[in-house]
Amino acid sequence: MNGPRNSPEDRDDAAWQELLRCYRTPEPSEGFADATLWRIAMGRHDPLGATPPVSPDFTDRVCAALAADRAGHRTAPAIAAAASIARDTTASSDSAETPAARSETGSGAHAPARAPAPVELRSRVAPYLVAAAMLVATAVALMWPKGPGATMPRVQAIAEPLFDRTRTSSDPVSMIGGLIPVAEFTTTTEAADELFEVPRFAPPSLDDFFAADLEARHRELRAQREPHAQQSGDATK
Amino acid sequence: MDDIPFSDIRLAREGDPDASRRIVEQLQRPIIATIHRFLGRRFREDVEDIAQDVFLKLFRALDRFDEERGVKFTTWAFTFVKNHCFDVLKKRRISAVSIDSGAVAEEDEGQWELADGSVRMPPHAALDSELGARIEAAIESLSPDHRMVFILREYEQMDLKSIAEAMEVSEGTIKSRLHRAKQALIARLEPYLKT
Repeated sequence: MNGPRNSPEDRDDAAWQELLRCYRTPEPSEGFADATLWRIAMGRHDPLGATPPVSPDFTDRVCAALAADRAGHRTAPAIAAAASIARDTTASSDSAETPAARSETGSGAHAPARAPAPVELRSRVAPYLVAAAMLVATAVALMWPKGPGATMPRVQAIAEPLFDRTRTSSDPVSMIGGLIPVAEFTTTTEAADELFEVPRFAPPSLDDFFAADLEARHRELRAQREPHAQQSGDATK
Repeated sequence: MDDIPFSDIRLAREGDPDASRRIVEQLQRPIIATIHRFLGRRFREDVEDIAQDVFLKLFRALDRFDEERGVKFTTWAFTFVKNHCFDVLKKRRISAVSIDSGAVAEEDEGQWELADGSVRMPPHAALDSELGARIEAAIESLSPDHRMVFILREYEQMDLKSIAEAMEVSEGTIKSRLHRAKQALIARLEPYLKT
């Protein structure tokens, strides 16, 4: 027999047992035993996997019934019932078989089963439509410019240099630059006609404008000087 | 736990309702308690149904119980409890955390702040239900094998030999599992042991 439990190990063990006792489980409910015994009794009457064996001639009887069915040796009420079921089920179908033909072939009992309803075109095409939409979305996403502040599609970014080309000083388009109203040009000269055809949305270029302005002033000065030069030449002559 | 008399087992085999009742009434409490502790909170509502299934299996297999093998009927019955509980766990696909891996159940991680000894404990009386819940959670964190061994030993007071027979492993394995389960639980419940 054990002695008094005074050692530290015993005290630890006692504390441990006391702690474990704090975890209690509920008692079985009042009707548990009765319900269990009832289930056990029911199991005894029809225990799982203990179904009564089939009669020895069961297989023979089934085979005979199948053979008789296959040979068409049916009783009249059975044939009538099968025919009525077949008529009901095939009335709405598009079968070319006539009622007379059906009666000749025996009955609708042997008629082929109705084919499953065809899948609608929309249902068949839907996956492809979804795939195409996803492909387009992916292409747009790939073309979209990366980086902060980039909001233009890449197509516009590609087309922009075409507009930049108009800003070159050698291009007459830039001389208009949207700053000089088209109405100030005369249409009597070929140059004016050419200028008139220039798209008006060409971006302005201030440098080109000043360059054109200087060139114009230079031409004016030269024009003013030339008469003076001619006059002085005549005088020397 | 007292064993069932052989006479009752023989009568129950023959379909005697009184003998069957005595067996059910004697085993219902330990079986329900073991299922309750083993399966834990998730199965609280189903414990009695599961226990009934165990009894059905047990009574269907009564003819297979061989008293001459020297195995106690209660031990044999707990083999059914263990197998059925493991099946239930498998069916519900609840993954138990093994203490072998040293892992700790994540879900109750937040409840273990009291492991810090500086935290003051409320009065013991007020803690009973809370403590029970924590012990339950701690037991639930053990692997199924360790959990079942611990429950059978500490709560059902079964001897090691019977546990080994019920678990269908050697006594050495049972001792090892019991030791490891206890160490894991003591580590988790240490703050409560100090009070």
